[in-house]
Amino acid sequence: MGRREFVVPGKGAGKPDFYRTQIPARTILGSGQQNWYFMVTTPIAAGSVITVPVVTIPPHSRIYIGSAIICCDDYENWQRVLWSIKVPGIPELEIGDVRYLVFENVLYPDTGVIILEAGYALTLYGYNLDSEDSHEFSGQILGTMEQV
Amino acid sequence: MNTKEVFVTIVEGNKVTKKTIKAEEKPIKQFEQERKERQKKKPKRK
Repeated sequence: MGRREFVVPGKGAGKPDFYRTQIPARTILGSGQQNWYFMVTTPIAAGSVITVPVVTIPPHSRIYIGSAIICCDDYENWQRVLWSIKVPGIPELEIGDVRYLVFENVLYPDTGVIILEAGYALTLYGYNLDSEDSHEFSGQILGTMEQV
Repeated sequence: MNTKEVFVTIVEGNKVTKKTIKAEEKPIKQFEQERKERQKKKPKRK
């Protein structure tokens, strides 16, 4: 296909306020910020819970958790996942408890992201509620790490 | 309780780390009992 050119009229009174171009929505990270993702895949024995230590926030850092994706290859039983944060000197605080069938996407809104400060630890607990068979589980946690 | 190695991937900006970490696996009944006791704990006073 040959090159195609368009005349784009300028914005203004009586002019269209769109252009023949795409502007994808894209989050631009600030200085000292970078994407942070964690993914775990593991089988879980029948009727068991697996405790996965996800991260302990290093000094001078902070992580904003934006979403979590969880799935399990069991399409017959509802499954469960818990996640919690440990703050030094405070009892473990559970911040998520989700029942799901095969797949679940937990999305925190921009105004309600989970903020993990330095020293906090995030733990994921994957249940296998099937009392007969082992199942493959995977959990992904997505966020932004910031240097402070 | 059973300690097993699980495969994880961690992405920090452009750095990708693939490794195995230790995870504990225990029967749901035992886990729930321990969880109940954990929830009863009160914060330490300074």
